Amino acid sequence: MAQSNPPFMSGVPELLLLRLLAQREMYGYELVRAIRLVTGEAITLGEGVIYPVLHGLERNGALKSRRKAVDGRTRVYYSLTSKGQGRLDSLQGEWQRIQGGITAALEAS
Amino acid sequence: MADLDLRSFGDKLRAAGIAPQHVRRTMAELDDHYHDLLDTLTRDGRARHAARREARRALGDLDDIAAAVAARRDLKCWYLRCPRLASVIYPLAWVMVLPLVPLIAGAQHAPAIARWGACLLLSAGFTASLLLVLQLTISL
Repeated sequence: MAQSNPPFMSGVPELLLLRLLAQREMYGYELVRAIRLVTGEAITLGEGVIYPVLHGLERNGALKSRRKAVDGRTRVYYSLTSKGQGRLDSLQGEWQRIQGGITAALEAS
Repeated sequence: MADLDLRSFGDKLRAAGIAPQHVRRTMAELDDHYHDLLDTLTRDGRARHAARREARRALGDLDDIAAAVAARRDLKCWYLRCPRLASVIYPLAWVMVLPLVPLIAGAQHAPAIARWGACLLLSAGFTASLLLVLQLTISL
């Protein structure tokens, strides 16, 4: 498994989680695997760290959760709310602005 | 939860003032996550011992996770999130509850209080009957 990359992670887990949950509801382990898959393992989290992020997003109304029994385990499935969609749009815009700035700086030098 | 020391993890979260429902849920989700990792690694052909070691590493250091949870103010108990409000509400609540304490205690210990009352009545009746007998004896 790849090394995690904490110095660049500020705000990124939140963006990735919201983006993935905009597609369909998922539980924690599924989300971590999806992050690894969609980022080509470029972004690898200390997996347990996503739970405080998920709980914080739910506490702030960006996500909602429901429990579902699957294969003898009770999974907590998370899904996006309309408030979460707004947060995702704002984070995406911010991220694209930063990315554009960095790309411009790299091309200029 | 034998493979992970989630009990001491939970103690750390409680000591940091994290709300009990978040402590319970984080512990349950981490436990499930760990077992999902174990299942996947075992299915991929890892020996049980190696799978355990790798699952623990993938999940991350429990102290780091506890620190990440403890750093979130929004997951703490309400009285830690709003200490000024708590400093007003708690004394007011006590002032309102204190006069009710005898009633609550009475309701909680109703059978004992009923027995005590019955004993008092019996002893009063016994004393009264003794006095009556004495009085009658003297008057005769």
